[in-house]
Amino acid sequence: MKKRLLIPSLIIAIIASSLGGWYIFLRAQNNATSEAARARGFGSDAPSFSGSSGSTFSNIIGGIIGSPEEGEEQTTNTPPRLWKVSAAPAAGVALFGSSTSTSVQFVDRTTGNIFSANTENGTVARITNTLIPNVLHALWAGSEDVIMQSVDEQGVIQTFSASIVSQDEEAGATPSTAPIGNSNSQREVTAAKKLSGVYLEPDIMAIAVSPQMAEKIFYLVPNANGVLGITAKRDGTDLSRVWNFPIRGWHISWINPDEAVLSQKASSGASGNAYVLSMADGELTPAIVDKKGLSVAVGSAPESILYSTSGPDAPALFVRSKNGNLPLRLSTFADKCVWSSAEEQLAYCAVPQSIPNASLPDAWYRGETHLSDVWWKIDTASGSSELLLSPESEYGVALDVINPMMNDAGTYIVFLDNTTQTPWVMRINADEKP
Amino acid sequence: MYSKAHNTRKRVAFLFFLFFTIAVFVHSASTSVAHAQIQLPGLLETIQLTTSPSYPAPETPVRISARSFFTDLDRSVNTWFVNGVAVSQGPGITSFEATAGPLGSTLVVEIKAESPSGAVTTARTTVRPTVTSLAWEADTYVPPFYKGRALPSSGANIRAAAVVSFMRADGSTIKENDIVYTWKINGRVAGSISGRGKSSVVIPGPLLFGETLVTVIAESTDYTYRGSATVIIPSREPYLVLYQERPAGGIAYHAALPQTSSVGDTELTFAAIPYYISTSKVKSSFLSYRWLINNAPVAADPSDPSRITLYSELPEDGALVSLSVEHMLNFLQTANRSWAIQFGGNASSPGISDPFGRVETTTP
Repeated sequence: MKKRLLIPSLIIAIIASSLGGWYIFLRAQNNATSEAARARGFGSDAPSFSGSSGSTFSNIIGGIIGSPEEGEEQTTNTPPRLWKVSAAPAAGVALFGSSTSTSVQFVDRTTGNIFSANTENGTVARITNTLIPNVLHALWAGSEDVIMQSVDEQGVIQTFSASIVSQDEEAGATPSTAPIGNSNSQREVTAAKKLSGVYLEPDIMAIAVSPQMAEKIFYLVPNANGVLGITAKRDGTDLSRVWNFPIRGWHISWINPDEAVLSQKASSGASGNAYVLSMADGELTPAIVDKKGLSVAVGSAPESILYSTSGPDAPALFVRSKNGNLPLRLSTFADKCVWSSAEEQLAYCAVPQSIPNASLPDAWYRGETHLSDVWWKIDTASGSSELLLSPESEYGVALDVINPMMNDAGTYIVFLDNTTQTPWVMRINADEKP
Repeated sequence: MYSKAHNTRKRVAFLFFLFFTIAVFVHSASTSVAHAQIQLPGLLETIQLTTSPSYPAPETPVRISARSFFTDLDRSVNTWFVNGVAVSQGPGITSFEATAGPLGSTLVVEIKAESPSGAVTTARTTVRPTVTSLAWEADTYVPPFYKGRALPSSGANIRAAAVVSFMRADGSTIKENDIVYTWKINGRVAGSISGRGKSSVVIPGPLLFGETLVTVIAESTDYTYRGSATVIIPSREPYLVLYQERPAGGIAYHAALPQTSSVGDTELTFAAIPYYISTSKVKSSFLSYRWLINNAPVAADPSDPSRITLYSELPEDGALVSLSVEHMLNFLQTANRSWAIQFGGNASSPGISDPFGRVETTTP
């Protein structure tokens, strides 16, 4: 009797365990298949492209994760003192805000999209999604107005002067802000706005925005006799010719509504000059003349000029102030310097750790040599300088600084790295947290 | 008698001639040395004052020196005055250093020399600081937004312009139409391009390996203000630089391709930029591009011969890319360069694989 019961029980147990094993096997296989399918994109929402987040945005934000300050960013949500705002190349970068809140704007070089980065919480948001391909130069006339320059197929420089408007501004809709992805990932995108503007006349070689009257611009266009200097409104109207000159290659620093400093484009063996241009009558007054390899960084007054000359082995830096010309002990190009917005006599310069054996600044301008800089703070009144930050030793990154700009409060400097064209922001005070 | 009287007349004539010659010499010497800054009270002024530099700039030291053919300044007691105030006195003091004032200012420097015999001679000069500068560039090619100067290669033209600051005491400036410009090219006065109001010139640049010395002397029409500037412009050979060009990002002007490089991609477009060649566009019918890949000629893209796209099927394939660019109208403007490029390998630096150092491309 017992044997009769034992055999069927064993058979049932074997069948049950086989079925159980088969179930577990199938479940494992199903999980693996699901993971593989998820990896291929099954189960995800199809990209609709209706939002403002696209592949470029993902690449830009994705690049931030790979930046050297990743660890600090993930744990504190506060950007580090030296912050790589984007891994994508930018055509220009600027700072806006007050002493309590500062944001960085940059133009993505590839798409012309404008992004905004918050220096307090590290969020990066795309502001506009208007496609302007291959922007080479961008500058701002305020946080809502930007000028972009690119080169078309015929080699003609195109200049787009635009304002940031909402997609349906005409309907009076207000833009909304919506987070994307993980809320802790510091990825946020504002419902995209668009650029609305006009193309200015072709081949604008240099352009500047009035420091006090953001609606006015001053630009240089070539003509048969050299170059014309024109003031206009940002929309290209109200044109006024204020200057003409036989020499075309100039950099513009518009320091106040009445005056701009024009400096000749530099070359190591060529004497250069910088002049103060009167916007009223187009008259030039010499500021610095007959200096080889001259480049300048102009403060808020024409008396405040940092300038560099090409020395026999390395560039030499000087300050021209009300007290006269003073040689500084730092060897760098004035292109790498910015005057403090907060204290009149202070300036900040990125100084190359070593100077390559090349014809400078020409080889640097041509992109043949790149430098690794250290930031210094300079008291131009006394000529003393103080080491501020070493990107290479403190952050393990070599930065070749160009286009530095300081916010009005004097708390941040933004710049581009010439090697990668990426935008960076540096907090001046090491101890201060935003 | 006739002979004696005749000799006397000859002596008088000779003395008169000698006196006249000396007077003319003194006058010409003083006007040619002292220029507009020096005012002579009369033809027979016996002390000449010269300034060094000849055209003092504002707020810079200026040395005023005295010399005389008639007064022994080394033995006389000389007193120097600046704007009427005695600043230096002593025997044999023949020069004095002052500091020029700002633009528009005048510095009246006077010397009173008292000889041991008691004779007093004076001279006065007025220093009016001026600034004269020369801006120049060549009409050669540099790419858009290039921050450097367009330099002259052999046969290129140079545009030069004088910027002159002649400021009067009331702050007004003398306009360029009231200034006479004298241009000197390699030391020789170029009369055809000089003249009133001619503040700028277009001149042939230096020849191969040479240099051009350009000087401009500016003088107000009333001879009151003068200034001068000189620049030396060396010749520069045209120079080829190769950049990557990508649909997303365009030409990476900030990252020139080095002589030897390794690129991660297997297909790349390169743009050649012929710096300092006489053209306004790289796509010019006056420029001839000859590309060689591994020493074999390659037909350039007729729509844009300055660009070339290379494709490599084999991993870690290499190519020696050579380019020669010639100006069809100026055979001295040629440039040749080669680049060894390794495809499909590891980039030798972040800027080579991708000129922007991106991990992946950001093509939308």
